Amino acid sequence: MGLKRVIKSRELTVSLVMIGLVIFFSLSSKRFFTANNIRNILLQVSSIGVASIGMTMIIITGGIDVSAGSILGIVAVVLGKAAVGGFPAWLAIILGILVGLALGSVNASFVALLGIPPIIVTLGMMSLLRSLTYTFLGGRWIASLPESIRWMGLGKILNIPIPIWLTIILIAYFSYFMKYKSLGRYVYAVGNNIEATRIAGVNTKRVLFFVYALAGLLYGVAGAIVVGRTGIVQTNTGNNFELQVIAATVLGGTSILGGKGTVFGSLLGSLLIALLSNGLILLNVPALTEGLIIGILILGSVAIDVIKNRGEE
Amino acid sequence: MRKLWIFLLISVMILLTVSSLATYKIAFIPKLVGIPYFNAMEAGGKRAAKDLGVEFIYTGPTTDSVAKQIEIIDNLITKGVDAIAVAPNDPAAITPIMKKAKGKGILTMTSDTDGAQNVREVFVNQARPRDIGYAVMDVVAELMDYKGKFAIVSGGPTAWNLNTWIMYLQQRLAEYPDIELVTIRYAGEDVQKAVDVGLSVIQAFPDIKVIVGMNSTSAPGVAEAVELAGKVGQIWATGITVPSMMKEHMKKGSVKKFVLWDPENLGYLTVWAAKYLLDGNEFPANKPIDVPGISTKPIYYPGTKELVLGPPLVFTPENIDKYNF
Repeated sequence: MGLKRVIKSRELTVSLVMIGLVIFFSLSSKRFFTANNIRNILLQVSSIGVASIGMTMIIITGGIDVSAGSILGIVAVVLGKAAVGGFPAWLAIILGILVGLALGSVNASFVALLGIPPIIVTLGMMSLLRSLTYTFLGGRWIASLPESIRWMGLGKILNIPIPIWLTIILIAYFSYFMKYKSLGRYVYAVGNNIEATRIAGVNTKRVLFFVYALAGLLYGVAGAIVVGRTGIVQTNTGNNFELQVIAATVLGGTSILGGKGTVFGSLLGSLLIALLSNGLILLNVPALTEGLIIGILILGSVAIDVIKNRGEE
Repeated sequence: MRKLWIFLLISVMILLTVSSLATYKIAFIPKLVGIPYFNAMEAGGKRAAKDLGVEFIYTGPTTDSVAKQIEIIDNLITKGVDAIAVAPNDPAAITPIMKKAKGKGILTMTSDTDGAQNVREVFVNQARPRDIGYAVMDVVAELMDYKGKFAIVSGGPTAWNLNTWIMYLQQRLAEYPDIELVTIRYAGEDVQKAVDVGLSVIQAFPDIKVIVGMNSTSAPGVAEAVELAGKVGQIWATGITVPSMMKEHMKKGSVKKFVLWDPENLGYLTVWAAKYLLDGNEFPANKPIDVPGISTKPIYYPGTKELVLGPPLVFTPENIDKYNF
């Protein structure tokens, strides 16, 4: 990446805003820049960060997935029911993640094989799966989950919580994947010009199928994290989750028109939102201003980006 | 033979007509179906219907949708019921549809949350907001031995009932000179958000002694945050939620006391009140009423047309196992 492109990248804009915020919060509260608090912020980011990998790829292909929260909800139910029903924790977690993969593959089949627009497919799945969550739970929340199932949320390796490990490893791998693996490059190609990509001999249906199915799998991982962290499966677990993931992705520089974006940028986007909501509590800024500031930030950073890149394309 | 068939058919039809005339159809529309709280109300309503010999209809939206709720009420009017009790998602928006119901001669009530105040016949209230706010504040004070700081994590910032409880909580707070409320934050209806907000609050105010979750998701969320932050024994989590969400946290030592009313009894009282009014009775004013089948003695306040279940219930390790919702 040339210097000029680095300067023009959204990652840099978001990073600079983040560094500014970190300096400001650190100067304003001596409790901000501590190991404890950084851990809190990273934990808050984890489920959104993991899910945003799939969402980023989908948006790069020019699609969207509003069923992410509902898939996460079903995964949580399966995981919870399996754990309460006596399955060993590892099996319940794998089962939950596989259900995520299966539901992602349903999205994938409709989008890639039948060619139905992603917004329609995932809107349908969103309400269908949410209703199924109600049906499966029969209105009862699962609260008394065995401690072992919560490993994905509470476990630690080298004193660093599992959700943080998962976020770092998955983001690192898929950053590499998107840059150097041919399938990763095809994702961009499909987003830029699906017809040209197909004519060039790429199986675009396969690329699309892969992207939606992988996203489902990653929502499954995110679901295991959420259940692990909260110890509760509610009927509305994951409600509005997709909006948080889409916000992080768009804030992180993925173009809603497709063809452009990085998973690392999306991680920065979710970090920025978490940083802000944490910092505003530490400064004891009245709660109602939080939404206002996040809204201004999204609009502001996208606007700066557009102005910087004016006349380029 | 043929005559006998006709005779049988006619008598069955008469029987059906008579029995459908005799049993009242009483409908309750919760804010949303599928949460433990309203399930408990449903269970109470069913029990009352069995005790009182009425038909109980429980139906509601799967999300807290205002439009869906109105649509469901409209369908019930078409279907023809004797009483409609609703826990409105929007207190003002249901007024026109409640007017329509009333115009068709249907008894209109609110339960759990008030709305359409100038239309509805009675509001079956779980506890007066003042009693709830005061009860939570008293629990907070007790937990910290009447001295120290505490924080609140609420649900949605626009939730009218939560805000009213917080207002009364602060009114009561004025009577505790050594207690300070350091912040009020919001986490919506999302346990994970409540955990994250709780962790940030504990980080920001490490010297608080109590953290309050004002709704059913925030209370277990802040309890989880206390455990995650390693503050069990230093910070008590409490709030307003259903007992099933708090049992584990009581075992882990982050929760000792919290507040709610009995939604099962509230559901029972709602159906009882509907039957009582449909029978042509009027509630005796301002004095405890004997309602067989529930554990409190409700009071009717004619000024606001409110039937109040009773004082809120404080859950403790001693009584929590008695409740299954």
